[in-house]
Amino acid sequence: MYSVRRLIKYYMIVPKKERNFTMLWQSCEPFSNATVKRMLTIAHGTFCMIDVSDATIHGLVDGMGSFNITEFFLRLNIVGVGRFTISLYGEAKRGIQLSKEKKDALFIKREKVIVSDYINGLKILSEIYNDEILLSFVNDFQSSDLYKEAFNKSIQLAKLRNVPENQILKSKDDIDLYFRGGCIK
Amino acid sequence: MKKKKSKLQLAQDEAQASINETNKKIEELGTYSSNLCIELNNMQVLFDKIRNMPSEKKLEIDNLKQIRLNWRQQAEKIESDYKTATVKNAGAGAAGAGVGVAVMTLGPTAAMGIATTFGVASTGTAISALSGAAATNAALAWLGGGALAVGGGGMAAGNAFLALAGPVGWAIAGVTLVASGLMFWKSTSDKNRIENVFTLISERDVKSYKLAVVELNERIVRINSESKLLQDAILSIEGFGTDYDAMTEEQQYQLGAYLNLMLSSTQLLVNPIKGLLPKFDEDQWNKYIAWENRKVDDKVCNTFKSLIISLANLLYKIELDDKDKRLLFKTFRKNKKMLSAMNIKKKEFTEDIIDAAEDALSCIY
Repeated sequence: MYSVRRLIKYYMIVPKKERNFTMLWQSCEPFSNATVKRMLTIAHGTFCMIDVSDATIHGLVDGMGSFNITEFFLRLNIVGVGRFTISLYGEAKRGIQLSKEKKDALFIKREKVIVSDYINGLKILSEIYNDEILLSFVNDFQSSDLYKEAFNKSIQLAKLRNVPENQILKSKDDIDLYFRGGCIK
Repeated sequence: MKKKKSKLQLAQDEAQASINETNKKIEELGTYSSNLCIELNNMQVLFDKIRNMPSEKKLEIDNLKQIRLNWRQQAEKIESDYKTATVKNAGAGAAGAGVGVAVMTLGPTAAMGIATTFGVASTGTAISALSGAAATNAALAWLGGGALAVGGGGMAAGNAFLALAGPVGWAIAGVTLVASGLMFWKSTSDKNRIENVFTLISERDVKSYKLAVVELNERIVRINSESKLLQDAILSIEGFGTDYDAMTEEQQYQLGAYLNLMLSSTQLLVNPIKGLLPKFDEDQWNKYIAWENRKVDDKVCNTFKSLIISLANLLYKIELDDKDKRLLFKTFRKNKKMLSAMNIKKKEFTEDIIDAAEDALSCIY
């Protein structure tokens, strides 16, 4: 029943292109998953409860006023109780594991915020230090006649490096002013 | 058998390793910075010759030189202040010994690296007490880490806490300071929660140091290559002669471009390394105060301004839920050392201050 229900669900949810046998089997196999184990725990628990009740009633009836412990144990499905104990142990273990993983997931989520901030920092650095083309103005002077363009690159470089705006030479007039003894302020 | 290290201890170890790596890079930066400064000065001398400035005008034109002068003065100040602080600290019984983030032998070269790392005012005016002090204190806090700050090596108790929240970070000094606070928690779950918060703080600081190392590497590469570029430029300019008006237009443009290059290269000496800057500074505080969605009233803001800034630095990019906040508050409140470092009385330290720090951070995120 479990597998049939999962099989229908699989065909309803997974698009045709993405279907494959391994995934199909993984979603339908009636063992090795927490849902089936939980179902078995409940089933074992129910059986055990009925069985223990039955054994207790027989123990009381046969005891005639007191509790007949021999009758109780003869009636009790000891293997069933053992199986139920194992199921309960498994449930507790999975519960603890789940809670630990939830905590870990929360911690990783908080770490992610820090890593994102670090990546943003790297992006900013990559912009600040993206100056290779601008520094090529020195070669431009030697290899071409485009000296005005080369000069413009030097202005962009100064801006990228946060040179105070009023100190950068931005035009031929600025160059003339400075080298004829004027002052940049 | 050796006890397995906790997540917090591992994070602290990693932080210490990152700090050591950062220090190596800072020292390397200092070596190259010194060479760059020499080339920049040579180029300036050449420009002065071309400009043929009369001596009475020298001071007026020194505007550009002042930035480099500031840088050198800053390095010298850091070196001398560090020596004074270590002497005082030794006198105080080396309080906090073993806590120190980066207690290193500070020679002139390392001091230059430190000056560059923490930035120098590039206004062109002489270092004023105010502009120089912030960077010098940041540098000293880095050099001495918890040892100088907590030990009171020239710093007032209140400033010690502020210094911790700056570039030093909390990875080593701060966490050690609150380590005794962790003992207050009998419940393992509470202790784990607080440990997680401090582990995250340490991890964040490790990332800051890594970012700083990346930038230091980039800076070193540029300083090195631009020193060579300036050397070539000087040779080239020498070929132009010293009469500006006799030069061709192309040569004049070239001079202008080299001057811009000189200014740009100077910035490599004075621009701070971003990874080591405080995450929440005075400018951001002013922005927060003017913020229309501010939840904290003026009285709390005005009274505990410095403390809120420090806590904002401590909690930057650290996500806290209500229980974490409550535990953090109790951890601080129960820790006498911490309260004394924060220069605050137990009664005065309320949850409002932590809320204010969180509110301030939400303004800048």
